[in-house]
Amino acid sequence: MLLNNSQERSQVDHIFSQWQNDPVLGETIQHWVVQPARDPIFTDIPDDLNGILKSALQSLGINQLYSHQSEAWEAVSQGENIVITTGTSSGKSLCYQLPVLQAASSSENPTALFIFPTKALAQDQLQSLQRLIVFMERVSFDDGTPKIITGIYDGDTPPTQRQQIRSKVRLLITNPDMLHMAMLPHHTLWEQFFRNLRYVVLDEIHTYRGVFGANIINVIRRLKRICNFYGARPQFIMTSATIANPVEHASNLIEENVHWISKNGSPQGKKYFLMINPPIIQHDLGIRQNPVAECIRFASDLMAYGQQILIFMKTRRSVEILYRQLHTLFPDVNIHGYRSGYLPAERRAIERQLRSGETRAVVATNALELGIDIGGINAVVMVGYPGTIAATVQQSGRAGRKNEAALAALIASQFPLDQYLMKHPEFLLDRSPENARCDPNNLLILLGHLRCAAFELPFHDGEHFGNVPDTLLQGLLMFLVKDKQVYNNSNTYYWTADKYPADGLNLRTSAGSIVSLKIPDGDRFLSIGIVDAPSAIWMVHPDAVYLHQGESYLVRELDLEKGQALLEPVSLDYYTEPRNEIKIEYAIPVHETRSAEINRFYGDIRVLNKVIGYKKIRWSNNEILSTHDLDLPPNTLDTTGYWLTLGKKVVDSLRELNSWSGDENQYGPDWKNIRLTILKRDNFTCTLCGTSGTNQTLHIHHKTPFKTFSSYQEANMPGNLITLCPACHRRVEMIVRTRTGLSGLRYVLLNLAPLFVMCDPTDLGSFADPKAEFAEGQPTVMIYDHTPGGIGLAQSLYQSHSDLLRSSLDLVQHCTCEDGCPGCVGPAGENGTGGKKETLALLKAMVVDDHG
Amino acid sequence: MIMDDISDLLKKLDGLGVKVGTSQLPDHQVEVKLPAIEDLIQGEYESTQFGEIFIATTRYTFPYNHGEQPLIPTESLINISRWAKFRDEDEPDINTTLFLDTETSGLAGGTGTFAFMIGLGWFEQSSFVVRQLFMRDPSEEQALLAVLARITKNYSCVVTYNGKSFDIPLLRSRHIQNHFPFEMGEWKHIDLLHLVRQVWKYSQESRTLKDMEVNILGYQRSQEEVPGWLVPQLYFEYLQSRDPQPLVGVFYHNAIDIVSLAALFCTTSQMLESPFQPFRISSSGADYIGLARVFEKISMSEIAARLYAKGIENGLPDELEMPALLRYAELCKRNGYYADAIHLWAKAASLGNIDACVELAKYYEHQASDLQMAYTYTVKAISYLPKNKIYSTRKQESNLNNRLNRLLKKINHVIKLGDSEDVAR
Repeated sequence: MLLNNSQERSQVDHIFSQWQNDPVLGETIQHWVVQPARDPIFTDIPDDLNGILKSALQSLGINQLYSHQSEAWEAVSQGENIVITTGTSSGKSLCYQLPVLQAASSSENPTALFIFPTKALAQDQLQSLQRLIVFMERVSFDDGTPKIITGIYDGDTPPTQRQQIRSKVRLLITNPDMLHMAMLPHHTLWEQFFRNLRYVVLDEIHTYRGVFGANIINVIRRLKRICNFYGARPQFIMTSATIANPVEHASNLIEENVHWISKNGSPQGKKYFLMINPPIIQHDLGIRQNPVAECIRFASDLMAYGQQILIFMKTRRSVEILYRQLHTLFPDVNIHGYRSGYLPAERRAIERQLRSGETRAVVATNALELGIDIGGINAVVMVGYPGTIAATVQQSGRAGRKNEAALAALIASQFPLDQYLMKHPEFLLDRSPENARCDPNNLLILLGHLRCAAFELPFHDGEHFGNVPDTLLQGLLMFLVKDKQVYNNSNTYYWTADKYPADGLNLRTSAGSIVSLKIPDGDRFLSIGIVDAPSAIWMVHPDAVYLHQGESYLVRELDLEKGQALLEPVSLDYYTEPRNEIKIEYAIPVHETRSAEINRFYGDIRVLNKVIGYKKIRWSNNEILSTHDLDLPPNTLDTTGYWLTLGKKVVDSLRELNSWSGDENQYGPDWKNIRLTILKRDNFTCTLCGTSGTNQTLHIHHKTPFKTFSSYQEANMPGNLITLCPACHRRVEMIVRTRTGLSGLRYVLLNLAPLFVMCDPTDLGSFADPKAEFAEGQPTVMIYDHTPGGIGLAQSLYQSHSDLLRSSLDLVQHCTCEDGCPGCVGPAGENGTGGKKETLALLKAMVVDDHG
Repeated sequence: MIMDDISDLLKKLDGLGVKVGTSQLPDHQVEVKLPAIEDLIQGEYESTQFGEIFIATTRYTFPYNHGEQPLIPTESLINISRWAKFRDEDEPDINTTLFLDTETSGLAGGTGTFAFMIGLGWFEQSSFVVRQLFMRDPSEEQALLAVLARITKNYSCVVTYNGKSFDIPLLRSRHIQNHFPFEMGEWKHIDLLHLVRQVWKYSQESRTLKDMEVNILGYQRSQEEVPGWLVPQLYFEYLQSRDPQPLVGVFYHNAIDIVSLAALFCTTSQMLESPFQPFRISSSGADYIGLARVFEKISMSEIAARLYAKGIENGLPDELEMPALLRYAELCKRNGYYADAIHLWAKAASLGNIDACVELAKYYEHQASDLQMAYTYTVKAISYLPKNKIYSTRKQESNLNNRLNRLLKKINHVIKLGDSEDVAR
């Protein structure tokens, strides 16, 4: 079914115009943009590139460089650190291969270290390097230049080879864990390698964010410290996918200045980007069509036209459903699924078949490792917002061919973020506002790495560790002395414990106690990941559905003492959300901004979290299936938070809302009689203040709001009704409105926060209280870091406060639901959430008056 | 997070779940005057440009018996040198050989482990000298390494127990970390543990220095001894308290380790030089087998053969007897002593060994041209198959059957020839 080039070029254009003109499909396309074709910008191969390397390039058919490759060469020659954000298939590898190989073929014998986040990438890059080296050595066989020896040093390296690699290798490929656990603590075994280290290549640095990023920064601090000991000062060459702050992020990573190479000189065909919102099928509740079904409509069209497509799904189950449906519709077409758990060989085969065009469609979870070159695909469809804009750009970035048109489409799900983006496509299409954030000076993380650093080399007074403030460094070292792990004498701190600190430190968690996630593997258990103990309580409580790399697991057992959770792979149509009872024990401001209307704070907090149960929520439409109770011990979390207290002016805005109208028709057919019964029961007096009245002057108030019940009979049970005088009723209403408004505010802030800081939704927690004890009894909303010690997210939100509020107002204002939905303030009718009117009133008051 | 002082930090860390044992307790106020280390242990201070270190010296004047082993240096070390694969001209001289054992801050390995005590021993004219270099705290490490270099300047061979995996790599790492060249890394190195494991493979269950000390050297340590695993702890406590009392045991432990190392070295090297002398050899003969294997490794098969013979003669446990017989027979065959080989194989064959039967069958067929005997032994071999379930395989079975058929054909052929000759007559 492979069509030739010219036909394919018009195909995507043709397909798109078909869609636009289709009465049904056209409606669902909310927004689209076209990226015009990009011509290549060529530059000559630099003069100072040595002849051997030039010939090697020529043997590979490369006679000119793209502009960004030359720019990289220049910058590195000037001694700068660089970060390249031109993306996969732009030939970014040459940006680091050329300087490294040039240096390697000199007689000085310099070495280079390549750090890749995954093994697959490592293998890929090794082959790419060796291809060049093979050509270089063919030319220089008589030269006497020492052979350039490359190798991978990771968990798969057989023990027998390790010794050889340590003594001979000059271009070493590894991953962050290996560097941290095996190389740095044994640096004397790598003496020659570190002494001559000229370049360090860090690939895909956008993945180094949050807790992982904080750990990586500290590993790099240790690496630089060791290089310094051997007299080396390597240059860093980094690559990153699109994020808002590549230079800032790269600089933070290595704590040095970085030169940014952003302009992409490689060619690219015309590219469409579509944002598709499935139609509403249930108007009162605002429920939309299942995005998977929507995907099938578009995918079928594409496949019928013979386009090669890549479909990204969020869960394995949906991959399976879609795969089966596509296979039924197109039995003769080569379609593959792709997910974690596939063997490396299987994955290589699928990637190869994608490149060659043999495979016409792949349905994948986000486990498809995005760095691997699979060529360009005609069409990419993403079902559900991948979670971050950066991930969206990366996934959609797979669509694109050098000389033909291509297409990427995002189909929104019911989640608030998805819906927000549909209304605000500029967030996706203009430069991403997401910053990669990580705070390497998180106490727990820093402490763990200081132990490792002390183990590697003693600390001397006056020595620095990255940009850690001196007082903090001193304090932590003194702490280690008190803890008897470090001994201090003559201005030096020596490691004096019979322990190997790198052992207890997993780069993906924030140290402290951890819970290992295990699945049965025959009669043993296999660990698939790790979470912090505090997070474990709500992430993997018994009966929780836990998502890991697109696979769903059901938690069978959580054993905090043993530090493990036993999981079972399942294929369910729901996920779970914990019901927490949260109390903020204290909140100590570190920064604050006060105004008449809002006071906002950032500081250290202690959260007491008790998981009291969970909800089962259907994947396809976010419908709550059932609620369950759990009895688990409470848990303490010390972290950082961002909170707002509402001033009187803002709260008063709730007063202006339409009061309770007393419209009898609202409360069911028998309301008149029920009223009388209650008034009689309460002796025609206000239950709160004792004022007496009549049927006309007194009101009957539902304690739990009428709309939260599913039937009027339940709502009107006598236990839920009390008699109130108008004044008390207004007061009570205010309280209810405040609570409702705060609750809605909490919901919308929490759901939009990931737009402003690049994090997973689970990295944040939220809290709201109309009378927060920790905040002088004021109505307060708080968003906090879920990571013990805080990881910089709350701080970032504090800084992005105005934008966050404005976006929230925007979302709620333009949401087409009546009284609240999962897309704005929370599903209507659910106890504790909802309240669109109230939330909107609050937001309006906050944004108009906010000068911060 | 901004931190004001250490108690603030401690509170924060506590909140994060970082538990600290005694950090909350006030620092121990030392009122009692503590002894200095030289008050408890014989030694002196040695100065370097980096500072001083303490050295304890003990002399073991000759004649000195360590348990049952007299401490007398072996004259020739040629065989031990062959075992260690030193080049032929490179036979170590006992006068430039150092015995070494370190006491370290732990077994974790990596750059965070250091040696706080380096014990050295060597033979002099009339005594065996032990010198223990000790650093009172980690800041004295450079002085320690400087003194080590000074003392060991004229030595060229080092003997250790498990030093290949532990002591030497550790010292190399410490030298690199202190920017010192590591001369000892270029020396000849005999890791006695590996040799001991081979020699006493069949007669000793455990070849730790401690067990060898008791079982082979017959030496009993005194009350002063502290177990090895406790040593790092004692040093850390000394760092905190500055009370040298617990170190007395550590010095003792280390010193005896060195002397036992030297004594065991004497025993082993004597066994290698004069293998037929009964040095520390168990009466059951298993030691002869271990020795025999070592001699095979250094390609001295004549001696190996005789050692096998001696071992067999002294009596061996069942599981050892058969392999010894076969190995001995193999060596005899290689050296051309067929009569001996046959005798041994016959014995093994009578004990039910299939390989021996096959060797005999081969011999009788090809060397002695006695097809009848060859056939007999092949049949015997086949008859042993059921009993040897573990050893016999289908391949072995089919090989034997092939041999049998082949022999039958040959025999019939000869008979036919014989018949035709009769007829011709």
